[in-house]
Amino acid sequence: MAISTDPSVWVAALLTIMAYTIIYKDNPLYKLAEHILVGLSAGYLFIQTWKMIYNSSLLPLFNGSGLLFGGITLVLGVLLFTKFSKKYFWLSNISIAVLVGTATGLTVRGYLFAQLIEQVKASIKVVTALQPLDIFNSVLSLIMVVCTLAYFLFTFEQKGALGWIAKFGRYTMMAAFGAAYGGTVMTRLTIFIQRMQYLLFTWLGLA
Amino acid sequence: MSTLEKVEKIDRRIVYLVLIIVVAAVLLRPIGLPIPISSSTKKYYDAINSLPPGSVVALGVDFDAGALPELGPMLEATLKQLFASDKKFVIFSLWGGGPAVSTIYLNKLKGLIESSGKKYGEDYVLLPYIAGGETAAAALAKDFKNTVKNDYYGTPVDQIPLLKNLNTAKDFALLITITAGTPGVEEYLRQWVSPFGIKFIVGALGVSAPNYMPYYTSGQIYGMIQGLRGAAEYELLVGSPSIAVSSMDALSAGHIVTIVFILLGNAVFLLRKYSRKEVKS
Repeated sequence: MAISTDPSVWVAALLTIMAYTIIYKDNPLYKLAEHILVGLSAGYLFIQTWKMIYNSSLLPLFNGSGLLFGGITLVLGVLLFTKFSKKYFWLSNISIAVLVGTATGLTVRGYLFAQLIEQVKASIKVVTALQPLDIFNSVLSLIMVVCTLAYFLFTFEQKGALGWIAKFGRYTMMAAFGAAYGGTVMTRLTIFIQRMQYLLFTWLGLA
Repeated sequence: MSTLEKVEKIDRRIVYLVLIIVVAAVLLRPIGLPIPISSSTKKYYDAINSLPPGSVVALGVDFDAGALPELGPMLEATLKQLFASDKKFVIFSLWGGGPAVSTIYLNKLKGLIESSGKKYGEDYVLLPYIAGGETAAAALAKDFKNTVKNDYYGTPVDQIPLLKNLNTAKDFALLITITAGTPGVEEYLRQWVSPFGIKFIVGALGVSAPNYMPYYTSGQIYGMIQGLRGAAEYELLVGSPSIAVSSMDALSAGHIVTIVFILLGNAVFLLRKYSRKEVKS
């Protein structure tokens, strides 16, 4: 066993232990670790964002290479802060309108092809599948898609054949949520295992 | 309180304690379980290997320190494969913490970079954080060079040889994103893959991978590393087993503990339900 003598390792290990004290109960040590994390993250993100704003808007404005672009973006950015004023808050709506409009336009343009048409094509690829298992998978996938969509037909009473189809759709969704839950468990366990490795091997020097 | 009630209302701190003991025990005494390679990880690996020499790869490091345990090993192995290959690459990030994470691994792989003979600015470049989410992804795809004025270290882009001929997404042979969420896969699909038809591979968190499976099965995502298990498979393919491989036994043990408690909880629930029915009748 060779305990680390690196101060940064000790700081990280102690902060890890302080954060994990929450599993016993809420306490000031956990709160301290949480506040340090939030403060560091906010500070780092602020600097990164400031660097980007400086390079893309302020610098072109100062050296004259992008007066129009730099000026407009700077004004729109500053207008967002009028949200805090009771008298001039309406000015921030201009910036928000530009943000929402740009994002919506870009998303809608890409969504139609990338996420709707391609997915519909993939759902009916049974006609191009070659291997028996691929054909089975494609047919099953198509049935599950149709049944899941049928579950959301709320304008019809779900009884009889539609009731059974919707029920199968519900079971399909439950299976999908189960798979998502399994992935969530893996992610959370991974974070915990990595911290345990840090404490056991990097800090305490075991094995 | 009956035994069943006591089990049903078990203090969650006991569950945590059992998990800590099991995981620590397996980390200190690994079992050595086999790690078969999945097809999605193999396709991720092959996508990089199959590129012609001199191809330029766009590597989006779209996560921050919170996702480091799962995505860090993927990034490290991807950088190892790229540095060992004859491809060039540009690292950029739509997440604020991305450049910091990238520098951690570039510093960690200093020895490998020196032995590979790759030169910064000619063979690889690190760009700063690009704010804007989907609009940033769209801007990069349409006008890569002019979206960013400098690299991460402040050098103007017109002084960087590698970026000279990179104008749109079409100038890249492959897009890789190692992402913890949004902005990430869907934004690249809409702004890079769909308009420009670029080949796309993804490194995803275990919690996100099921959401991206429809894109993988439709062929929009060519290859995908799914969670830490995928990272372990990828490390074996790259020939450099590291932290992900060493975590596999503990991950399996942790999953078994979770499954045991889920089964126990459901069994107790059903037994109590039927014993209540018997009492009523």
